[in-house]
Amino acid sequence: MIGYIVRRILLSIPLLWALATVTFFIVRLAPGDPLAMYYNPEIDPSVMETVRTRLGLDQPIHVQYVRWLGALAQGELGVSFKHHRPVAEILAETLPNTLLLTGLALLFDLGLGVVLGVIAAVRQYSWTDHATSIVALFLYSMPGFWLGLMMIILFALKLGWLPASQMESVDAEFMGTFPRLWDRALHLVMPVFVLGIASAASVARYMRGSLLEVIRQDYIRTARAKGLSERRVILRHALPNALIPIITLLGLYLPYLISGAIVTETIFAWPGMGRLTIDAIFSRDYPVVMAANLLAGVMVVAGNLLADVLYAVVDPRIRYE
Amino acid sequence: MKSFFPFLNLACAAILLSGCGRESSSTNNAGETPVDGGTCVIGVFGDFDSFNELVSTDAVATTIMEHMLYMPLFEWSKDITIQGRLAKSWEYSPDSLAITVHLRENVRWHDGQPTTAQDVKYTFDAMKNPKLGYPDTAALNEVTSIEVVDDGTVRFHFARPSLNQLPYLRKLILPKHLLEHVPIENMESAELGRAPVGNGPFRFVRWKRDQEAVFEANPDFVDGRPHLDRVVFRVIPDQTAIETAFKSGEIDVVERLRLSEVAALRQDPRFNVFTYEQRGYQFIGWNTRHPLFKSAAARKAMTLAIDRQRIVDALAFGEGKVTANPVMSLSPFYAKDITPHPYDPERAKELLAGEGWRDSNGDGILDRDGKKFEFNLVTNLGNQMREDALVMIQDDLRKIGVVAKPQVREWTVFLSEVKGKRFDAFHMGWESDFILNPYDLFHTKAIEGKYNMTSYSNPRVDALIDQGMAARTFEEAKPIFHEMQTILHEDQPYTILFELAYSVGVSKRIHGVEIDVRSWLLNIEDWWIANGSKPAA
Repeated sequence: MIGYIVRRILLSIPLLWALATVTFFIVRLAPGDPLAMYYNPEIDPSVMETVRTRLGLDQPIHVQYVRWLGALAQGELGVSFKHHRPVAEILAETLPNTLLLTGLALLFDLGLGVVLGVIAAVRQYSWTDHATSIVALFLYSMPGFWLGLMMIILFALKLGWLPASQMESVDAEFMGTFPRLWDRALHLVMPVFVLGIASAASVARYMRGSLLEVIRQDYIRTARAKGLSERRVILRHALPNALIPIITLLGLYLPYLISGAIVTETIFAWPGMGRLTIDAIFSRDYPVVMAANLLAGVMVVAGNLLADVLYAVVDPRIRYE
Repeated sequence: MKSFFPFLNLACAAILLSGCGRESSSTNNAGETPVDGGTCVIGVFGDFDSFNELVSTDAVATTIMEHMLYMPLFEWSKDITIQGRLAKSWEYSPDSLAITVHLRENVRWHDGQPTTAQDVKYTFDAMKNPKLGYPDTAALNEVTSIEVVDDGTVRFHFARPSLNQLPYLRKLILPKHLLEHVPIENMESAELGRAPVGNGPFRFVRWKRDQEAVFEANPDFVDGRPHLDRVVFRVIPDQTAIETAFKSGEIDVVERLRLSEVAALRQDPRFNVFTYEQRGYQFIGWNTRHPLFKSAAARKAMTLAIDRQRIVDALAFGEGKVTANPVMSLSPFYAKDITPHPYDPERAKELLAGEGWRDSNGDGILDRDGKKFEFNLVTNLGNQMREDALVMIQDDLRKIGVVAKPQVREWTVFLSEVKGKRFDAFHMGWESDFILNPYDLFHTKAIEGKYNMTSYSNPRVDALIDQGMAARTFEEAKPIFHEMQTILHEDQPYTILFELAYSVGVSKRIHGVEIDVRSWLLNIEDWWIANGSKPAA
């Protein structure tokens, strides 16, 4: 097992290098200019060239690539063009915000999705099943930006129950520990809900399908024949096996934990990775785009590895050599 | 407290479009005494880049630096002349090649160090450093050297007398003792950009990237402490979300309202809406070397055929005005008696007929020597208003038998086409300032390597520009630039479309607000909140 993991990690290095290289060239070759704002009659045209030289953008692209790769090999992510700060520092600030939001959203969507999926499967074709399916499809089809704005208008503007945006209230640092945590929790309610609800709907559908399949297996019939309660049959015997496909989903969700959720983060003014990345792309802030991309790549690799390893843990039939 | 009426006059004269008089331009009620205290929350769309003037290129960050954190040496007065801020008084040398500036006393950096002539010299030297790439470096090259006479006196030496000598010195001053150890190439990463130490009315407290920047009253400010305890800038990148936060009372000020929302918010009794002109204008540039646009009459016909007011009404919801000159309309140099060419398609047809353009084959399109009057009209991708304007212009020109083919290009491609003069006509906008530098846009010598993309060349205009830029005072330069604008109005290298009007939304909770074209944070040190109440959120 250990050997397998080490092998997978070693194999991922050329993969990540290829990813970084392709992204580097695509990003550089994409139209756009990080210095566009210098084209202005208030600014002498020579200034644009000075800044270009200072940022190293006057070099041929292959020279820029070698420089960038060399720096990366030494753990240097560079300095953001837009924020005038080291990229590593920016990531260190942004990642925790995103993890808080996406982590809670993931818990919410897995929790809710599994519960709804189980209910729908156990009561297949019942009124509850149909209702859950319809609501799930409805929420799944709802665009996040629309749901987010509607919630803001309802809960922040009309009812005034929840704050409309940001992570904390103004002057939150003057609050005591518990009021401040409560304030933070209130700020989390809407973004976590909006971010989690669509995936919860899809998890519920997966869960229902998977559980329905497991329920028809012989060992479930055996368990029932032994006279176990229905509750015990479902929760102890059927559920663990039905959860295996959900682990694949979890592996797929991991990169998205890090890459953030651009729409939700924008609407709720949440300072996370999604917004950072999109802003960087729009302003052609190459160092930030590259770092965010690389991080997302690492997470995809890690997510897949984790899912594979978890398979072996939950399913004794699977063995890696 | 700054007085209320003079600005109202200025605003009424200038902001006819917004129906001035409905809203007051100052929120002070007579007899109310400002009190200290309270937190004002301002919503902005994007995060700041840096609070170090040497590297910042961000408009909102610059505004905060100028009006809250640092003291500029000079600033614009209400009537758009230069007044001192950190400068107490100044005098020209007899040959006008030097200006001696006496600084105000007792101005201290937020860390307690005094602000001295050394700081002034350091700041200008750094801005002039060719390795830095400070946007105004070229203009500051007019300043040949900066001499510290004593701690409170600094002397600027100039290469030649020029109209813009004093406006060039309108720079905010940075603390030398916190920057001198930073090599100029590493200025980007200087600590000052992240944790600024200024000498202005507000002190820096905290800046969380993409979230908020917090400032507090500087009790030791040389003009006395500002009324507000704290000013919090919150970053809310979504238009609807920022307006919702504003309406729900979470934020007190919205930096810029959507043009489509302004009219409704003006009617809302909870808010004051302040409208000010865009410092700049939108235009079409005609390639004066192109066979179609060689003649001034043809260019003028294009202007006459474009219904510019319709564009303002349709695309800017009326929040803008049609202007005539390539100078912002509130600049002291704007020739007010030159009115925009009217919308007159019949006259446009006559002008083109005079140039030999006729619809000889009855297909509805003008032609001459077997060639149709058709051309590409290009703009940059990503500006919806410009893309929409192209379609409206196409529609207008079609009515006089001219075919304009709208083309939208990605920014770098657009820029290389425009710079390389590989275009028929292009639509874009310029930012501009109160001071005028028409040289880069219209001088024959600016065709190569500068901003004269239309290749416009008129010896009389060249002479007027040279003469105007060498004038000593605004008053001396005004008639010269007036003549220049008269000629440009006839020659029409640009069809000037319009200036936009931007609006700031301010909760009535905030008193004492004055906003005009100079800045929306102009007098934030005078803003105050009754009872110092905290926002509801």
